[in-house]
Amino acid sequence: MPRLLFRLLGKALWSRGLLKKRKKHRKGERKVESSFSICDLPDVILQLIISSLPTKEAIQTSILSKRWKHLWRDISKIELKEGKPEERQQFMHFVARLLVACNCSTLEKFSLTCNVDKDASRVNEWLCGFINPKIQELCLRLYGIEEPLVFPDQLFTCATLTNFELDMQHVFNLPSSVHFQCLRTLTLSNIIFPDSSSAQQLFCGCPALEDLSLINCNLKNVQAVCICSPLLRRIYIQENKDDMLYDIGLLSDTIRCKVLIVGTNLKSFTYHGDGMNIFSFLIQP
Amino acid sequence: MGSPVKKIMLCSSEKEIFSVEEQVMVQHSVIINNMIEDGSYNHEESKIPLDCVDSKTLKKVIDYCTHHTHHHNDNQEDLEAWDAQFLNVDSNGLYDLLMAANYLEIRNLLDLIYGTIKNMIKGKKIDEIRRIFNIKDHGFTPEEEEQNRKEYPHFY
Repeated sequence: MPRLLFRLLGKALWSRGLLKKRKKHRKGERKVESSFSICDLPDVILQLIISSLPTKEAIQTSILSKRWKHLWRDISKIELKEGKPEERQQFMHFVARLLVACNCSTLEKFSLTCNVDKDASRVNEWLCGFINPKIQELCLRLYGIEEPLVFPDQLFTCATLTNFELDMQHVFNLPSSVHFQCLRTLTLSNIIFPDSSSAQQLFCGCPALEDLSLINCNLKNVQAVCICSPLLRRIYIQENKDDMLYDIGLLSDTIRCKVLIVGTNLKSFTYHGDGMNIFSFLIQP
Repeated sequence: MGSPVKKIMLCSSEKEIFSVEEQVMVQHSVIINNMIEDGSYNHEESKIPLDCVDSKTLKKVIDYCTHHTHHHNDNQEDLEAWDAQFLNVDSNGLYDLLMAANYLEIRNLLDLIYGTIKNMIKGKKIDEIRRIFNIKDHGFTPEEEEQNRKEYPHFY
């Protein structure tokens, strides 16, 4: 919520509310106990309240009254999670309608959990639609991927993104330019890095990173990579043989990835796994 | 011996003066922080006039800021229990607090109030939410209302 908006609204809002209350008091007789003056709240505050609801309930507020009809369209948070397989068509339809109706440019948090299966092109369309250049928190858990997904290029240079969680068992292709200026928390699960330079490009493109988790990520195509974000405080690595895509029999020093972690701010490093890759540290005093 | 605690004066709509630790308000209120930072508050003579916050509400706001300054290291459960008790007010009290927190830009108090309102309406049926928000006239025609009912049967 931009500060300025609050400040501009503050006084005007208040005096509206106060006048209303005083009037009621002056009329006297009836006590003002159950009448929630909250209906007098300005749209921007109602939208914050709507945004805090689960997405389906947020949309439902459109039928509370004529005034509420369009309020939800400017919500700041959308969370979409596919339910049972037999309800897939309903889910796809719901998201497609939402994409048209919602003003995606005001979205700050977007979360999508679904199976992609044969619908890669539709999911690509959603990603392009919902991910705006001002997004702050993004959580994508995409399963059953049969062909590469296309993330909008603007995602990789997004200057407002602070939290990014990506879970997909597929190659994570990066564009030539990666710069997450404000990204503080990055969690990658099950992704396959296409090659050393992509991995390096990603870790070099997060100058503000504080918290990094790599959960069962596949580094088989990466010979060496350096993680060197100056503000990095916490690293969590999990890698289990069972979850890796490649044949364990091939595991040898030659295919292990060498990960060098450089940092002055590192407070915590947690590793769970079977020693798939080699981690070394260079901690400057 | 440390230096004496710096105080600032806040003045409610009833012109009642409240003396509060400067640090407490600076930490929580964006507006007061800005006033102190840009030097528009003079410690010798200034009072911050809060014409739109009555004494009862101002006292609550100060309680909130003071508690969260001095108890921020308490465990989460204790803080949440304190917050729940703090917001155990009627809907007008909640409205007054929301407006005061909005005016003074106290973000964590605002978030707390939004969360409380959210919990009041989450999972509720349409009539209940209309009652909570005091929506007496929804403005839909009977046909539109019928259509809404068809579209969101579980909401009715």
